[in-house]
Amino acid sequence: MNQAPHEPTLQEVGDALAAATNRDLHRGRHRPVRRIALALAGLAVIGAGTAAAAGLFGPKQVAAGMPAGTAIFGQTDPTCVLNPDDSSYRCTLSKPPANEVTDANGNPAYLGTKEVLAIDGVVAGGCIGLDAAGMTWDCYVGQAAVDHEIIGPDFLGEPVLGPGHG
Amino acid sequence: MAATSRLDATRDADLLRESKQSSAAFRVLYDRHAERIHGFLLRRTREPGAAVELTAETFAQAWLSRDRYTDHDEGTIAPWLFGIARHVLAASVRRQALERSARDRLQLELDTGATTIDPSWLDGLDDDLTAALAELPDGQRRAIELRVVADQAYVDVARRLDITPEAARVRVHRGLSAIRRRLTQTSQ
Repeated sequence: MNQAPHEPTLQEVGDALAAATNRDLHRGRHRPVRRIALALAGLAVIGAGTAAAAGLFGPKQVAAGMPAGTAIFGQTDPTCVLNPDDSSYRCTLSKPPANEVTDANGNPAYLGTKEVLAIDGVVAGGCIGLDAAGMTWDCYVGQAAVDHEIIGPDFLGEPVLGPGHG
Repeated sequence: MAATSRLDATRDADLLRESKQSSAAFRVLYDRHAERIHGFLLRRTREPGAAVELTAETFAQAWLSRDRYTDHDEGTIAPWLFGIARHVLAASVRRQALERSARDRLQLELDTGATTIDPSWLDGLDDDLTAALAELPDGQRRAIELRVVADQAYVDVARRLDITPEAARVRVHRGLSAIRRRLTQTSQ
């Protein structure tokens, strides 16, 4: 599409609209809980690599944060343990996630899928699927989730009303 | 986080419903329809900057009114979006300023140059629709008049046209697609 160089493209309008609608979606909701906000700020200062080791979030919080952040993890009863790298958590589900992400044949296709992690009502990080069935995930908290391109930097710390879909 | 592959395969009305909780779902709708809405507005205004701003306003209004969308099961929200675009265009001409109430509510800022509103933007606007409707085969035109204009249920449309509800649905879908193509043809 021909556009004058100084005018926004439809892509740029779409990006601006996406940011605006995301703000609107969260407008009027509770502001981020102070404790989690401080913790996330702490992660930024401490650095992603030592986030988990810093003990700001325990495996149980991360496990609870999966269904809190993403609807597909409802009723999956995740269990998380700290990975040897001290910066991420390996989480295993007791039951498969909701069948929302599939391949052309309708089979689960969760390998590499990225989902939101929510702790105390705010976006605290994200998880990446490690297998097609979606039974095993690596979850990252704070800046580490941004560095792994699971969530955007503007999304970190945003309040969540309920588990997200998609 | 958006599972893009799933959203891409989701029908419009379901995406709009999902967008009550997900801006990612609405972004997929934008990506599907923005170019055609923009094409329509560019053809009316012949002002690239104005067309972009009015496209943004159209989708901002769609976002703010998504709770009020009625799913007629046509498989696409394009007719609804074009209705908003027409309203945005008409409101801009009436006020002699680009309509931006929804953008203001969403604090959606765009950096475009000043635009002079021209009443000719509305010239032949209804003629387009009338002509597009007139070009349809009788069966499709009647189906659209009953379903979209008179807001009758498919089962009632079917009864009036003495066809099955499935056939009525197909006629409406094909008719709306033809109208959409007609209305979004860009003048070169």
